[in-house]
Amino acid sequence: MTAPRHVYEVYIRTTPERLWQAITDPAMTQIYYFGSRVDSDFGVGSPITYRQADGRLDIEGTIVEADPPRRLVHTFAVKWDATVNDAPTRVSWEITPMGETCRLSVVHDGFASETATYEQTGSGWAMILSGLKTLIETGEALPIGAPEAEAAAPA
Amino acid sequence: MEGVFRALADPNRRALLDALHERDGRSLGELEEIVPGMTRFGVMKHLRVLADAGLVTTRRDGRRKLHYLNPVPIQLIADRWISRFAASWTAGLADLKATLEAPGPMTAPKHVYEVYIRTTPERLWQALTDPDLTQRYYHHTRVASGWKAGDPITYTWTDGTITIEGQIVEAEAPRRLVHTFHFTQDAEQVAERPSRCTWEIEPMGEACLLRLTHDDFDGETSTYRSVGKGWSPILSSLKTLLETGEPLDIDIPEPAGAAS
Repeated sequence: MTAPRHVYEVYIRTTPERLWQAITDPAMTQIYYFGSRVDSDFGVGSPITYRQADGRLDIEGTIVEADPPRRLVHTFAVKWDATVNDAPTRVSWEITPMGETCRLSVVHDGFASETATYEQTGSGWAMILSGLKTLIETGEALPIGAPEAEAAAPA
Repeated sequence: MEGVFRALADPNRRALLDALHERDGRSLGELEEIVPGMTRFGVMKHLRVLADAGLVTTRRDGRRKLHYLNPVPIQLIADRWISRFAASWTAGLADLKATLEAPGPMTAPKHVYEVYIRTTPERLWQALTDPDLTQRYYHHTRVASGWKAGDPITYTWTDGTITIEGQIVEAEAPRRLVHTFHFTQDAEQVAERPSRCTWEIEPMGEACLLRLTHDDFDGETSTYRSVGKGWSPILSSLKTLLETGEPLDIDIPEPAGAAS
């Protein structure tokens, strides 16, 4: 209870398969994950990266567990900020079908303490998961404020 | 105040504040140049920490969002401590230490949820206060209140059973609603003192941030434990209702027990 971690639950009208695809398809993550494209073969032990469209690395990790379409666990090292050198943390995605809806639970833990990684990821997950839900349910990006609008604009 | 200290602890964030001190009203793109080696993703994260600490405010200018320094929280720290140092160096230090080490509100049990919804503050406020709408996403309960401080607020099943009762603490349409929360359908929770729900609506471009804080529990009470998993389906369904016109249909296999 005392170890710092982020826990989120979001309910999405979709199937586990479509939700798994949204988590693992770079064209989809680019829409809701701060413009970042995921890249991995999703085999245990394989690398996983999130990169901006221009190639800049945001996140680097390793697949710890992959059980499509229900569970994905990977390590998570911050690369978007060169001054952050925290040990890799861990992100667990868990999909539970509930009728016409799926529950997506995301747990981000493995922080040594309230590190820079912990602090910098605190408010981002709500944006990512809100955008993911909107994308799946409406087919469109969620236009949150100006930063996303600028990021979506041609450089 | 803890948020201010944490925000100031990072050299990149101090560089961003220095840049805004030099010249206010900068866009994200301009601020990216202040911290070379950091992606836009990183700069956005840092700006959010600064905004959460109240140190940076933003204003939209067409499609751009401009960032402004808000020095008030730093001034408050200066007022609080610098003048005390002048009066009594040791007393000031002791006070600082006590404040930093006190088990402040950070450690009191509370639930905080944030969800971003494509809607306007007015439509979101309506969804929180219109019984025909709450019935669609809030465990089939209808809300009723006069929506003025001191007024009662109830959530009632369609058979007339009141499931939650409370009192309006603050109501500032369409931005902020605070009410007490007392679940009536569980003996253990009835015996507990009412807790508190704070709904905050913040417009962000074409979307709104809805933040729900459920706190003022006397420790990890039965209410605290039971509502922990209950809010996420409500907030998810509210978002779906506003964005698609239909609420979610969730088959929850777990035993009922989430108060709301």
